[in-house]
Formats: sequence, C-alpha cells, structure tokens
Amino acid sequence: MRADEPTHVLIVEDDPMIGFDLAVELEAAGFTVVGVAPTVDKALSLLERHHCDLAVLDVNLGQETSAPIARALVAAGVPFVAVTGYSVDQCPEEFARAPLLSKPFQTSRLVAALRRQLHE
Amino acid sequence: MHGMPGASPASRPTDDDTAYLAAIVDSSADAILSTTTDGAIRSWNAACERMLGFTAAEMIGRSVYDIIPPDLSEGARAIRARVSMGESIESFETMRLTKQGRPIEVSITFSPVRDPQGAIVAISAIIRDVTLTKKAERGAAMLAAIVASSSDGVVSKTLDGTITSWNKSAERIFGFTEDEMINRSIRTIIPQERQAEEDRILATVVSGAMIDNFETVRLRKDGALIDVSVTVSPVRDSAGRIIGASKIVRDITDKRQTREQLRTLLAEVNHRSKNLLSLVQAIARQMTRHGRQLDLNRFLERLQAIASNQDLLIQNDWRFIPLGGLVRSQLGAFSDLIGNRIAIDGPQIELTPEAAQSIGMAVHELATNAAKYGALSNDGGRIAVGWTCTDGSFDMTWVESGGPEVAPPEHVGFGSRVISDMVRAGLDGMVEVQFLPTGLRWHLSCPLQRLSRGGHHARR
Repeated sequence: MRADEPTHVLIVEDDPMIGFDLAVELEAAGFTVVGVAPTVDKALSLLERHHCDLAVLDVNLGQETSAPIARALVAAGVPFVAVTGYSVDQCPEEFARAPLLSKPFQTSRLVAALRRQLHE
Repeated sequence: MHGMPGASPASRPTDDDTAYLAAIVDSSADAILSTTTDGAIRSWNAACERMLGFTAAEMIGRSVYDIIPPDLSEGARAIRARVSMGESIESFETMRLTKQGRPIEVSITFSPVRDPQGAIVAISAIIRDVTLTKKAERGAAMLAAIVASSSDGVVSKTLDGTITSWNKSAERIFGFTEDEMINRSIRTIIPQERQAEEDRILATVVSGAMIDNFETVRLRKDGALIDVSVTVSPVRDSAGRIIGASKIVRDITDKRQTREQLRTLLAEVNHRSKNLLSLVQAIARQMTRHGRQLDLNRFLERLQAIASNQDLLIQNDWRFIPLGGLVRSQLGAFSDLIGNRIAIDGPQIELTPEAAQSIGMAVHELATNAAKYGALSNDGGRIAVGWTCTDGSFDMTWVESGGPEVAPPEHVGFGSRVISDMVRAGLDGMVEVQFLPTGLRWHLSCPLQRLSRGGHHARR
C-alpha cells in the first residue's frame, strides 16, 4: 500500500447507530469505509469482495461473536482492533493478541489504535 | 419370711439363710417386690422405695394395682394370672406409677414363688427403670430417622475410607445402593483426577478438624460427574478417639447452574450497559458534528425514544420487539391521533433488537419532523404508516398528506441521516425519502431476514 492511497477499513458492529457513527467518524479521519457489517456472514462477504487494510471488530454481535471474522482477518494478514462492552477476560481467545478498546471510547483512541496497527 | 425365686423348694432354709437372703434382696440395686397371688404386697425393698417413692411401711399389705396405671391394670391381671399358673415372664416392658403419680417406664421380670410343697404362694417382681434407656433408644431412632430421611447424602467411613453407612439420599445422589457401597472404598465416587482430595480429607479428619462445605465434583454410578458440596467431620468413640468420619454431601448442580447463569447475565448486563453508553455517545457525537451546539431537548427526546424500545424488549423477554408496538410506542406523544389522523397498518413482525433500534429511531425522527414541519404541524394533516412482507422482502412506508407544503431541507441534519443512512446501513436496505408537495414520503425496503428471526427467537 502506498502512502497516498486511501486506507480501507471494514467496520463490524451490530448496533446500527454505533456502526453508523463509527463509519462517519472514520471517514472524517481520512479512512475509506468498506462497509458496516452487523453479522459474521455480511463481514465475510464484504471481505471477499473488497480489499481491506484494517478492520474494527465489535466482539459481540448479539447472536454470535465476531471470532470467525477475527480468524479470517488473521489468515489474510489484515490487522484489526477489537472493541467490546465485555470485560477483557470475557473475550474469545481470537482477540487475545489484538488491541482491545473498551466501550465507550473516544474516536481519537480508535483512530490512533488503527494507525498503530497499520504501521506495525 | 418370703420365699425367694431360685430358692430350692426341696431344702427348708434356716433362719440364718432367710436373713441372709433378705439382706441381699434389700441391698439389691434392682427394685424387688413380692405379692400374694391376688396382688397384696408382701415385700418391698429399698430400691423399690428409691424408684417409686413409697416406703415399705406404706406399701406392705396394699394392693400392687396401686402402682399400676389404671389403663394397664387389665393387662397386669392377665400377666399375674399366667405367673400364678407357674409361668416366669422376663423383661416385660410396661409402666408403673411413682408416689407422685408420675408414670415411669420399667422392665419387669415376674416369677412364681413356691412353698416347700411346690404350691405357688406368691409372685416376685424385679423391676428395672428403663426410662433413660428408652429415651436413649428413642433418641437414636430419631437420629437414624433424620439421617435416613435427610435430603442430603449422609455417609460414614472408617479412617481408611471404607464406607460404613450410606443413606437413601446418598443412594439418590450417586446411584449406588446401600448394599453396593457398604464396605467399599469412598474412592469409588471420587473421579480419578481428584483422588488426592481424599488423602487431604482423611488427613484433615485424622487431625480432628472438619471440612466445611467443600465444593467439588464426584462421580455417579452411571459415570456422570456431579457438582457437590461436602462437609466432613471426624467421628469419635466414647473415649474420644477418632475412629472415622461422617460425610454430608449436597447435590449443588442446580446451585452451580444458577450461579453460572447469573454470571452470564451479569456479563450481558455489563456488555449491554456499555453498548448503551456507546449509543448515547454516538448520538451526541453525530448531533454535534461540524461544531454544532448540542440541542439538549432533542438529545433527551432521542434518549427517551431508545429507552422506550428497551421497555418493549424487556416485555418480550429480551427476544424481540413487535413492529406494531414499536411504531405505537414511538408515536406515543400523538397516541390520541392514532386511528383518525394517523393510520397504522401491517402484519405482526417480531423485530430483532438491532432492527427495532433502527426502525424505532427512524419513526421517532419522522414523527418529530412531522410535528415540526409536516402533517402533524397543522390541524388536518394525516399520516399513513404501513408495512408489508412479501417473498422474504420487507417494505415500510410513511406517507404524510394534508400538511403544509413541504420542501427539501436546506442541510442534512442528524435526523435526516438517521432515517436514511443509518437505516440503510443497519438493515442492508434501500431508503427513499421524497419531499413531495403533498407531504413527505419515506420508503424502506430490505430483506425480511435482516430484521426478524421469524419464529425462531433464540435468547441472546
């Protein structure tokens, strides 16, 4: 990826308003949002169809967790940041090595965490 | 003097012998009395006086029925008749009355007393006070009954772990019968990987200490593992030596499950409350984009709209929100207009909580907008809210008419983005907003499966 190319971010979040807010905020921070996926299926299909440089994963998606997405991202070498309303010890092991932001958080912290992931 | 049981009728006792025997009787710890065959008391030793309170002087010549409870006199007569016929009766358990009239439990041995010719001339009675023994027996029986009927498993074992008792509840909890377990090792019910626990338990018992409500896992006969709470206490003999252990076992499978459910529930509450805070944060952030001042009233109204969704969700056990109820709840401020100026029409759909949030917020924004600028801002405007489900696709419309003439807003505010962008992204749908001269028309179209799980409402 070249520095002048936009960074493509996938957002996985089941709450429509929070997902919408994240998309708006990340776009404002200069990222290109590939899509907001509220389910594992939707996220995996977006990953198949689009190039992604980064992802933001809400750990809990209501009926399911985003662990399968985390595994797919690791396999594809796409770094991600996890966000959750759970306490850290309640997260599936797939998220053990990813930066974890506890909800609620400031957008600036998410942006900083994403940028760090990108440059690692 | 009186003839004594056991005295040989063949040889006539001398006066010395008689005095000697009388002395023995008098100093006996057992109460000994004798009567004529028809019940007149002839002798009454010191132990009789101690047991029953009457002196010999008071009793000699009186009827023996004076110390027999009236309701037992019939039976006593029958016994005495048998003894008069030559029968000896040992350890007959009955009651006698003390001088104070208090009945005491006794065990009596009756013997016929014969004269030198062998004729039965008297009846001797040796009376034992068995009140304490009886009390102890009853106490033991009571304890045994308590153990037998306890809902806890009660087990005793020797210091090498050999089972010596096994009650009904232990049978119910572990599936092994008493016959199967007596003389077997307690290790039978301990899973392989927990065998070391028994070493520790035995060591603790030997030291004289007890183990209180130790929560662990034990093995049933059918091989299933069960959660139990175990209390183990040393058992001592009368000299105080520790000779074994008693073990009370409680099946805590239910308790553990309840605890786990509670933990899961608390994790959910944690997750949901932080999500709600995130939602509030997101709304505040989006309302104040581009340096706009927060409109506090509008902000609080939006929080209220979200809170009323929560109520509907709880009413339906946190599984779904009915669309009809959701629309009515979001139009709560205009409930008096529903049925005349506001028409609501559509089949019952059970929305997922996420879908309900999108649609609920959209309806809230549409209603607020209608009240400010649209069909609810004058006296005659109307709104038709309707939805249909066909072939797995969902369509919902909000059509205003009869309000003031409308024009597209000059800038796209938070409300506009909620009814379009947020709903579109949240429901994977298409949203059309038209500012027709007759009024606003909003149309949402999305896959039905994006907003309802149909008949299947698994708990979150």
